[in-house]
Formats: sequence, structure tokens, C-alpha cells
Amino acid sequence: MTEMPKKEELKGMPPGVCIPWEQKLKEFAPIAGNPEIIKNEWEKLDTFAYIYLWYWVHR
Amino acid sequence: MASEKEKVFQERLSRYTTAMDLGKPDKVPIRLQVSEFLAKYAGFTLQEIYYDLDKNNAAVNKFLADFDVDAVFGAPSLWWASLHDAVGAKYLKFAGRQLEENRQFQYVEEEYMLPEDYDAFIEDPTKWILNTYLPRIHEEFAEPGSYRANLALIKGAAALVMANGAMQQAAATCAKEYGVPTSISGILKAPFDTLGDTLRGLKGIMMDLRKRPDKVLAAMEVLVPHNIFYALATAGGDTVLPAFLPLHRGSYPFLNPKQWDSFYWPTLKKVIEGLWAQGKRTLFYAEGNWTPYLEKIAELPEKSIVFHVDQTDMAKAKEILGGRFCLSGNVPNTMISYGKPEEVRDYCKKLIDEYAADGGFIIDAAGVIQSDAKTENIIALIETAREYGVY
Repeated sequence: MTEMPKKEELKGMPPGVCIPWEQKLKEFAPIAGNPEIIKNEWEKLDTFAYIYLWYWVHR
Repeated sequence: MASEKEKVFQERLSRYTTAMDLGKPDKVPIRLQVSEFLAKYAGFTLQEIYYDLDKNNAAVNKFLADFDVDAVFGAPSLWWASLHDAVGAKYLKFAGRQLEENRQFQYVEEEYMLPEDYDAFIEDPTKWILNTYLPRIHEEFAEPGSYRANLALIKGAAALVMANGAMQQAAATCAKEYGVPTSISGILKAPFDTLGDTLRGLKGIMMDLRKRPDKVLAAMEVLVPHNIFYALATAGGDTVLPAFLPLHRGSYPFLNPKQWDSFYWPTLKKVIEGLWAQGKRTLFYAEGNWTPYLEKIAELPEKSIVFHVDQTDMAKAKEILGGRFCLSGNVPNTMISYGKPEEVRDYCKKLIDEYAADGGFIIDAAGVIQSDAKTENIIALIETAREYGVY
């Protein structure tokens, strides 16, 4: 089996990510309620933006 | 889903997946990768199916109402022309707009990624796509941040959602109303094709192999996890059906075997193995001739691909890959378009006799079926497989 690159070895934003949640969390802070709820929905939309951008490359 | 349709759907799906798992189903599965032929058969112009999402879906429904197949590609057009118009995409021409209304879409190949873009692409490809690639390939983004550019981003994103929704609806209708599963879920490319198709183009990538081979290799390594992710994301997490991998520049003799070993194969192998590690099989749609590379392909994990034969030597494919991967294909498209039904029947019988006896075989055309196919030859293929391909 071919060895896959480790996450820390990846260049640029990882697959599925345009703006990492960790970065956005710093901009949001402090979060009054449950951050996981906000994170999950943020990441869904961020992944959609990623898919939209890569759609034009994978054509 | 009505119980009778549900039963038929499960029978067809089982027939298809059993073959992909190297088993022997009750019959040789019929999977047809049909595209523009569906428009002609349903009586629509190509402009209608490229631009009208409802007619695009209606075309496949008409086909499924009339023909008995086990898996179908989906609606004839993978792309919605209006999505491309919304952003002013420069590299596709569609019927009814730039082309006459029954002319197949045309790809305008250019070096949309320049040699000096390699470093920025390697550093952060997602950022490079947004900042450099989209303004270059989309007329509406000529002035980033302008009214036109912002509006085009909104329309483009909305259009992608609308197109994806229509495709999902089409797949649901195929299953619910006609009891037929789609043949694939998810789509991806080989990293070399990602770079050599829409980014650098054939001329650009061939020059790069000599002038900047290290950049090519680095860019393809960057693409590996993105291509894996894209396949899984566009499959919506499904692992029952294979991801569609149309393979372009790896066909012999685009590359010679040394170039293929160095540039094409290592990252393609990583992508396929990465998907298989997550339970996702790949439909290795080997367009053209892949005979010189069969021994290398045999190194992939067992059952991780369905090897689709276009012009690859079928006997060698069976000898080297048989028993390890399901094979599919390879009724010649020229025969389907220009031959007679009797020739198609004879060819299908030969395929079934020589390659299907042990199971692990799916009958299909050699390549995607276009609008020049003859209806009587499609009927001959299906009837022969159903009558003769019984285990």
C-alpha cells in the first residue's frame, strides 16, 4: 500500500477547507453557547465553497 | 418506493455489485454509460439538454422506460450550460449559444495555468484557484470585487446547488420510478489529468515534463488528497457505487512507458488506494489503450477498481487483471454507431463467452455513448446480453 502524506505534511489549506475553523474561532471569540454547533455548520458551508472552487478544476 | 420497483431495484443493484465484487450474479449486468444519445432518443436537441435541467432528466427517464439495463450513468449532460454562462466560462462552448443547436459541447484547450503559477499552486492550490484561476477562466471575474464579479460568484454558487439538486433528483427518479441504480457516485481525475486537462493543457504539460519535471511531480503530490476528498464529497459519502474516474492522458501513447511510470502512475495509485482505504471503489475508465500498463495496474488492491476496457487488449486484460478486478466494456462505439445489429449481437456473444464465464464482468460500450449511436444497435446489445448472458 502506498504511504499517504500526513496531515501536517500537506501544503496549503487541507482538502475541504477554505478558512480553517481555528482561524474563524479566534475572530468569533468569545462564543456564548456551544461552539461545536457553530463549528459544524461553519465547516459545512466552508466545504461547499471549497467544492465550488475545485469544481472548475476537476472539470 | 413502490414494492415491485424496490424489488427490481434491489435485484439490479445486487447484480451490479456482485459482479464488481468478482462474484457471479444471475445474469451478466448491463451498465451503459450513455450521454448525448439519450437526448436524440428522447427527441430533444442538445441545446435543450445542456440548458434545460428538466429536459436533461426527462431524457434519461424516457430511456429507462423503454430499455432494460442494470445501471445507468444518469442524465445525458453532466453539466448545466447556464452555470457556465453565469460566470462567463471561456473554455466550454455549448449547443445553441456558440454552436449550432445539435452540436456536442466543445472544450477550448489553453494553458489556463501558466508555468510561473506552479509555485503558488503548490503553496496553496485552493487559494490559487480563487485568486488567479477563476478570474482567468471566467469573463465575469475579470475585475475581482466588481459588481459583475460579485454577482457572478453568487449566481455560480447558486447554479451549482441547483444543478446538483437536479442530479440527485434524477438519480432518485431512476431508482423510484424505473428501479434502476446509477452506475457511479462521485467523480475524480488522475492528478496528471487534473494538471494536464483544465490547468496546463496537453501542450503545456508535455513541455513541463521536459522543462520542469520537479514542479509537475510536486504539483501532483499536492493534488492527491484533494482528488480523494473531491471524489468522496461528490459521492455524498456513498461507498456502494464506484467513483467515476475518466482517464485521459494515461492512454498509450500519449505518454511513453517511462513517462507513465514516473509521472502518471505513482499519484494515480495513491488516489485509488486512498479511496479504497475508505471503502470507495473506483471505476477505472481506461479511455483508449492501456495494454502496456496492465502489469502495473495489477498492483492495486484486489477489488479496488472496476477496470473498464475501451481499446485495451481484452484478452490481456483478462489474463493479467481477471480474478483480481471486475472487467467491463468493450463493445466498440464505432460498431454501435456504424455497424449492424447482427455484428453487435455477435460481438456481445463473444464477450460473454470469453470473458464473463467466471463472473466479475459487466457489459458496456467501450466508451461513453454519444448521439451518433444507432438505436437498433443499443437494442441488440441489451437483448443479446439479457438472452445470452444468463449464468
